[in-house]
Amino acid sequence: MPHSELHQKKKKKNYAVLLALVAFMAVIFVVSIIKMKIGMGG
Amino acid sequence: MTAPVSQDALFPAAGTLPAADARIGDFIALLKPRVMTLVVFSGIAGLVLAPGSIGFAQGDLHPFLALVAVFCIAVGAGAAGAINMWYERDIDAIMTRTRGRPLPMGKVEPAEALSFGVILTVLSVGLMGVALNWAAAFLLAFASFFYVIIYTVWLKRRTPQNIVIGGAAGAFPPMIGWAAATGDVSLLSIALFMIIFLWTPPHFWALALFRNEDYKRAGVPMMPVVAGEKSTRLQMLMYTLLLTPFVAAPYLMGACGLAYAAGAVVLHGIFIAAALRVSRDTDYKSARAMFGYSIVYLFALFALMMADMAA
Repeated sequence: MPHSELHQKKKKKNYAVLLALVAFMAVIFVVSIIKMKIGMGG
Repeated sequence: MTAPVSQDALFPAAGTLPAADARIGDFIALLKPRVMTLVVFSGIAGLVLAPGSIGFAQGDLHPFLALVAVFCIAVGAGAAGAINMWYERDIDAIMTRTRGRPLPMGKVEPAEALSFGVILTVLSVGLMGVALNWAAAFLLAFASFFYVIIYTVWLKRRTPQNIVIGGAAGAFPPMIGWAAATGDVSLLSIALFMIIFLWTPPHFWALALFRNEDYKRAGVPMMPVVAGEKSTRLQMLMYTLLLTPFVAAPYLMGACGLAYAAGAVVLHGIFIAAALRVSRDTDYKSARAMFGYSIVYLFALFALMMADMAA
């Protein structure tokens, strides 16, 4: 399938969304770790 | 011979332009980054001024959680701004000040802007609830609701009191910051809310005075358009004077010391002098000056509170 300019632009946007989702998951992960530490009196 | 170009061709109605592929910068512009600066700053002030401290000791607010709280306030406010831009894309296309925004320029599709705003609102409120507490998350959700539904949809195009009541939305960040740190709302956080709430009319009407034609053309019933310039200038002075006890409140309530009191007297004194000048003048020079100073004033006032607390 030929990769047009539109494909490239869409690909960029999809990567940006993926990056945002990964960052969000990372934040949730760190928050969970901190919350568990606080819960254990750390 | 060149064909005549219609006004519609020059400034097509919002959403009628074929959307070019939006860039990340266009989505950032949807978040109103300049407005976000003040929101973030006042949110940080609420966090810092709240009892308890930010640190790693037991009972302290963990710095990462404090950072998440500020991030949620920023993203929540930005998301409400994006929904506001989606709803106001018709009048944004008419006004000179807003004509360059991504939606009237056709850089972002209306549906993209709306879904961007809604998704970020849900994520920021959810993250605030999970990371900090649900009181802060509720306030964040309520502030977004107030800005989008009460101000943007209901009041803005109907009454000259739009920014008086709608200003409450912009006054929530310090209260949200406070709630994120403590889980509740106290008298001092209400005083911080009142400072921004009463600061908003003189700040916005100063802008509306020298952008009067813009608002008139767009059919937005801003105070200078409806009540006239003289009445607006007097009301700006009235709100500036009403602000005085709330600026004094952090000192009177014992939260801040003499350093804050002295600084606040100077800052607020200049603000009153600017409002007095606007009330007497008939040109827009003083209104422009007051608009510029009002931004410096609010930043400096909150910075002073934080510096006083830290000292």
